[in-house]
Amino acid sequence: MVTKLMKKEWNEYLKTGKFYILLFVFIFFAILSPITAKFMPEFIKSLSQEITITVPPPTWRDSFVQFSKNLNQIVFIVIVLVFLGSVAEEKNHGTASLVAAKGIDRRKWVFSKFLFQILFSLAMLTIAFFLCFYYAKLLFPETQFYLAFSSTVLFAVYLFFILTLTIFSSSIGNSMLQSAGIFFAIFIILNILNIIPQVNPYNPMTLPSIENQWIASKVAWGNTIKPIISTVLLSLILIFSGAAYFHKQEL
Amino acid sequence: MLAIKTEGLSKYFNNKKAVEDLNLQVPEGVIFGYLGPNGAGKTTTIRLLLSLAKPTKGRAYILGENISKSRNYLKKIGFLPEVPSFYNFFTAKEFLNFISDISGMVKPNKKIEEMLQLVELNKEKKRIGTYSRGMKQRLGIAQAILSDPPLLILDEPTSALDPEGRKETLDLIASFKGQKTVFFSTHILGDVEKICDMVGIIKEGRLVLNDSIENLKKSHSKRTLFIEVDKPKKLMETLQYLNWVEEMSPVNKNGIILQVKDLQFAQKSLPEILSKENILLNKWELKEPTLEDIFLEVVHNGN
Amino acid sequence: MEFIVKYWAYLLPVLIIQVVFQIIALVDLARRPREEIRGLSKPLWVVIIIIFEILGPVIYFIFGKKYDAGDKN
Ligand SMILES: Nc1ncnc2c1ncn2[C@@H]1O[C@H](COP(=O)(O)OP(=O)(O)OP(=O)(O)O)[C@@H](O)[C@H]1O
Ligand SMILES: [Mg+2]
Repeated sequence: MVTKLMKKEWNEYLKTGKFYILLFVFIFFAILSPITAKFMPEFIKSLSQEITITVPPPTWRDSFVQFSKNLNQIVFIVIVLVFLGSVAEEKNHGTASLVAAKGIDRRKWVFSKFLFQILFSLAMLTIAFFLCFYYAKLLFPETQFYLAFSSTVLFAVYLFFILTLTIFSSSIGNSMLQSAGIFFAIFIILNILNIIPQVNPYNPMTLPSIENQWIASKVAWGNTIKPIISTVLLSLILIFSGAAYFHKQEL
Repeated sequence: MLAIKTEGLSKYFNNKKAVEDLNLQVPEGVIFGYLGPNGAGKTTTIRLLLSLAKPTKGRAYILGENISKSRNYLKKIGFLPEVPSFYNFFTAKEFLNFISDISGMVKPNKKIEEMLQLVELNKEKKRIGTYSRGMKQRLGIAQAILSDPPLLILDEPTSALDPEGRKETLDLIASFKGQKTVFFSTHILGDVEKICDMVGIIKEGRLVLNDSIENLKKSHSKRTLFIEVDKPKKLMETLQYLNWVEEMSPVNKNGIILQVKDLQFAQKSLPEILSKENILLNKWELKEPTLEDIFLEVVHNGN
Repeated sequence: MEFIVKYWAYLLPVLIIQVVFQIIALVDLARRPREEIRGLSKPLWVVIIIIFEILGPVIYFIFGKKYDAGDKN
């Protein structure tokens, strides 16, 4: 059943343009990141010829600083906007009740959406990573694979959490707007909690900053076990409670 | 066995009693018309039966299964929502393919073609998003009966259709007689009269009637008389004090329509009164009221 | 300008990706019946798709279409 439902998601993404949004946004910023890293300093210099600003020469690490920054900002927003309506819009529109009235297990329905989203996003992230890496290697031959790859894997863990938070918000809210409210409320609360040093190691929101530390110096999986485990646990809680809520909800 | 049975089924929204103490009985194989004015609670009842809403109180059994125990019974139901909505990016055919997929049908292609032909959408290549409301309702009927479920629950299946489409849909529903149980809500009496075996009438959330059309006509209908006499005024003055006369109203010049409590009693008493008052009887007719009369009577007076 | 001339070979793929995406969005817009377009008129969406570069088509695909022609928003 889950594969049948995922097939419908796939058709939907192709027919509504959501497929293109994610594909193009991922590959665009994958390629753009190393290019910006390489040429931005020079570009800034060329703009201001009168004043001489000293810009440090770019390194291969800057490609992945850019890549990480783009993933955490623009790609993040686009992913959330594309996925946030997945359950809520169907509730709003009435297709959710049609499917539920066919006797489809609603929890499986939510899982199939989530599974589709995570597989699709990971596929896009993989493509983006290799494109970015290829370009970085072209522009900075000394680019190191292990560090680049590890930091992207760490981002994938963070992405997993973001997608569970998205599907959770979508399962609870009855419209795209409500779901957006729930999503950003939780997102902001977690970011505020991140200020407290005691919660910090358990907070998924530390993952992007760890990623940046890695890129700046070196990969340290050992110190990252705690946030990864708590992120995965929190993610599982979100997806299961979202599905359970939707299972009982009136449509 | 009963296809649908509810026991004290109730649904409150805050303080609004949308459905109150509903005891429905729908035998298998019948075409059941669920009648009620706007806001009576028809859609709410259907949502309860499909587990799309949680009952505040009471129980429901569908094809023998307690619906609060498991939702597997839903696989035996074809459902047409009041305002059907589909994935608008699909064409009708793609949508039915999806439905057949999740209903676990094997080799559905022939059946899908058949269904599209039946609802006259077989030549339609456009996406559902561009359909008119009537076209969506027809697609809704197709998706409801696609997997050949034994029970159909249809919420106002003819509301958006043109006269031709309405007739075809009613004929289609009528053709299921004896093979499937069809429970459909409507406020169009004519539809019920044409094709239903049984009728339930709901008013302000309460079921005020649940009976076969045959019984209904027997018990409710034959209590209306039309008489024509030479001195209608005099007769009405006499009759107004009698407790077996429920209602009376003058018609035309000399006619009176009489609503009586007990027909047989009236048949015996009236002649007596007429002869005692020295009134000439010109015409005597037992009125066979339409379902509309019954409906209006039930809805206005309670049971 | 001199900068673009010097590094055009690197910038070209970025430009191609963006333009292809914009064309896909414009084709979708052109083929979509007017009732399914949300918010703005078709010509305005054309402007948005073009001037916002890569984000133009993203905005169009996310916000520019109704779920259903009959929906209010
Ligand atoms: N989700 C809800 N929240 C609050 N009140 C509701 C809700 N759904 C229905 N009601 C109320 O319950 C009552 C019954 O509504 P219902 O939709 O069942 O009527 P209906 O018989 O289907 O009417 P119609 O013929 O117009 O379709 C109405 O008064 C309605 O306002
Ligand atoms: Mg209704």
